[in-house]
Amino acid sequence: MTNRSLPMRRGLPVVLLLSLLTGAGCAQAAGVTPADSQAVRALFLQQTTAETAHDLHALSGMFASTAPGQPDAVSFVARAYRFWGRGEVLEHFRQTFAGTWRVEPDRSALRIIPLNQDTVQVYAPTKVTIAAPGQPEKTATFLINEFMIRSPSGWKVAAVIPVPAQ
Amino acid sequence: MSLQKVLACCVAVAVMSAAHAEAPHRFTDEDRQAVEAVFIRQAEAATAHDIDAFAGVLASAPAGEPDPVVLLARSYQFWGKPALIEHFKDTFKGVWKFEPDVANIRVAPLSADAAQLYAPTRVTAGASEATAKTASFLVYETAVRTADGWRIASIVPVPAQ
Repeated sequence: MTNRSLPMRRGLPVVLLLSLLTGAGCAQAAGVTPADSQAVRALFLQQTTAETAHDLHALSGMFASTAPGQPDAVSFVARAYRFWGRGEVLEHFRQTFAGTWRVEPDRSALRIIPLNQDTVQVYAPTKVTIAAPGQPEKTATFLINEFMIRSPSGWKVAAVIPVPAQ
Repeated sequence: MSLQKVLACCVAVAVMSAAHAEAPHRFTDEDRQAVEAVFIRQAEAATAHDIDAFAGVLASAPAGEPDPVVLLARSYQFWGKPALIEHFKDTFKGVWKFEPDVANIRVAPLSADAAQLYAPTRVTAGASEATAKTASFLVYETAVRTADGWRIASIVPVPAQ
């Protein structure tokens, strides 16, 4: 061992300690916790309840809002139509609520898939009963996919992607 | 190592840390292009039946973290990257062409580190060229920012008919 290596060995713990301390700042924050999963599940069920109740005001509060100048994360992609942005999606529900609209998720089959710490996918086979005003009802099953995002005011709905099961 | 060198190392680490602290927490146009590019690579790998390249565009969950990869279609649902890769190993034995309408791809952020992508896509599938059928799907996918760049997490094909 040379005279040069001894001071180096003394310096290494300092560098290592600093690396650990600063590295902690680089590490991701805690991921999606069980409490997050419960909140996401609750949000999805509240959303379906609000839809079945045709409560547009409650539903509006569940969809993500974007700060001015920021891109709108809200979308709705279905076989029959595509809506981009919170305004279009809520207008779609306003029109839909004029007729029949009932949403009944299979709670036992509901799954939550974290994409990262701030984004979660929800999957739920769901019976949807729909009809234009005065028209006979039709019920069909959809594999509903939704994407929820963490916001300063809690989890919010961003994207709704229903896949027809038949 | 002299005191000066130790201090220089500390400054370097601190600078690197500051750079990390400012790591991207906004979704930029560069991110948008990167998400579209990884989707195009996915489509090319699928059509080329290149399972390694296909696996390379999918997100890999760090050890101990949940696997974000899913394929949720009308006909089948696959949960996790290994199940999806196994599915495509089988699928690639037959005819499989995945042709997005590139001009109509839409990319939007879900959050700073997750994006959604929409692409009307023609999929040709079958056991042989003689029996293969082509159908249109409204393909919805999500991508997540990883240490290796943007990678695909969810694949949700909505039948267009």
